[in-house]
Amino acid sequence: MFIDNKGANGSGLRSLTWYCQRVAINHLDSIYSVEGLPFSLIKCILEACSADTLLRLEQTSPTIQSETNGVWRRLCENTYKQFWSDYELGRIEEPKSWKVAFFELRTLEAEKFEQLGAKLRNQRVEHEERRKEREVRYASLLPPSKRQRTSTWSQSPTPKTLFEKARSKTAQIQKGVYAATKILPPMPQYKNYSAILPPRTASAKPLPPAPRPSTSIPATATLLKTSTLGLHSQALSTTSTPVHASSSSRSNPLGASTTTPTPSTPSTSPASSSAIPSPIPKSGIITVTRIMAPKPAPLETVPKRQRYMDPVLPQLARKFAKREAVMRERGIGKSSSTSTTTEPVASGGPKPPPPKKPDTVLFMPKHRVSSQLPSRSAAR
Amino acid sequence: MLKCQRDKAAELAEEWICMTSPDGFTFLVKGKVAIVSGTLKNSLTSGLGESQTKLIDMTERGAVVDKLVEFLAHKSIYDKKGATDVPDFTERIAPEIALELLMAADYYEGESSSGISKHKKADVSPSVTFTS
Repeated sequence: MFIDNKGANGSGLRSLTWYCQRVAINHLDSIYSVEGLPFSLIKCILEACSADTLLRLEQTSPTIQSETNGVWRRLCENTYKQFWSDYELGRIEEPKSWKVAFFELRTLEAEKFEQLGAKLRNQRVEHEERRKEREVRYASLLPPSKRQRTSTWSQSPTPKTLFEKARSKTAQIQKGVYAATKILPPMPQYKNYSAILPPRTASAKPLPPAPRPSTSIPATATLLKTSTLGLHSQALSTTSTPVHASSSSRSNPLGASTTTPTPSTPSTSPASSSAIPSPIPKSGIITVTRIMAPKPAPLETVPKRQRYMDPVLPQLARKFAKREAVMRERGIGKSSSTSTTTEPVASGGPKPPPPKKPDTVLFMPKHRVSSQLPSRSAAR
Repeated sequence: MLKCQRDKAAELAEEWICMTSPDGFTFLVKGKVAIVSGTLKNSLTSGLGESQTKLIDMTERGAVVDKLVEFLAHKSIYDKKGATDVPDFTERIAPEIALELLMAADYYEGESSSGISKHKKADVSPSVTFTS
């Protein structure tokens, strides 16, 4: 390439031309034009140029375009070796212009590189996506649950329809509201009651004597007012003995008295034990004629258990209370006819209801307030 | 003819040659340095006007002539048999004058021969080297 004209004496000193060409090659980019220069001098310079520089110099120095075919040939040889090998092997014909061939080869190479680049880019993108899928991500919030868990252990499945939802909500409300305060009616415990008897004082009136079958002692009449409302619970007396009615009391409309014969007194008539109670008048006043009976034994002698815990009396009391309520609803009750008369004691019939005492209550639940008890004044 | 030129060259070695450029520069060069260039040697030993006046008119500009004369002097010193440690003259050439110097060097480095004119610088083969 260079003009290697070493000194004739073998001193190693080169020619000035050689030095100048070397300097020009070192500064190819600084060369603007080689117009006017003999091609023989600049050939080595042009051969050292790149394709772009050569193209530029050809454009600035048109006189060299006809002489640069060899330069382009050398460029093709140095740049596209595969093509040069094919050319040397005879597979490819010599092109008319090596300059054109060079740029065609360059275009093909650019397209090939573009395809390879796109392929590599896609592979890299795919690799990045795969890597991102494998990445562990940390989140502060839990993802929303897609569906509610419906396990077999749950008591009730989640409602789907509107009706089911409403039913479940009402059930929840009921459980929540009424669970704490369960209002249950009190269990009827007939043995739980206790008779409320007046205290035994000196000023207290003595108990009327028991009715005697032979004597005809006028009975003291005591009126018992029964309240229409509390008829079931507090109308009847708490005495355990049935009330006995005499036949003579029919003519005595007002002078009826309620007696509480002791259970120890024998019934004078067999029918007295099962007297059918008369319907309660509208006024609520029940008069019961006193049957002369032997003087009742003092209360202390009567066994307590027999007095207060007789199971028959509360049942009768309830029955009478119900009957009274029914009669009142139906509106039955002629006070004149029913107030004074008392049904005669039939033989083998039901016993009359026991006389009611204002202070005694046949059946009184425990939870009743004392104010709800019938007062003595009201009864009198 | 050649003997005559050799005798004349021996006589010129001790004389001073004046080289002038168009831009007004004048370079006084020893005869033995000037005759390193074959072209200059031919013109100084031809027996023509320049050989008698010892005055050479250069067509290159002063910067190029300066570098040319410098190279001629460099060569007259280091172009000897067995010379070692020859400094590289590439560093001493400015790239701005490389192409002009290339052309001048191509012209003035021609072998000294008779009949080569300065106007035919483009026809000078680069393979021609200076001869002593």
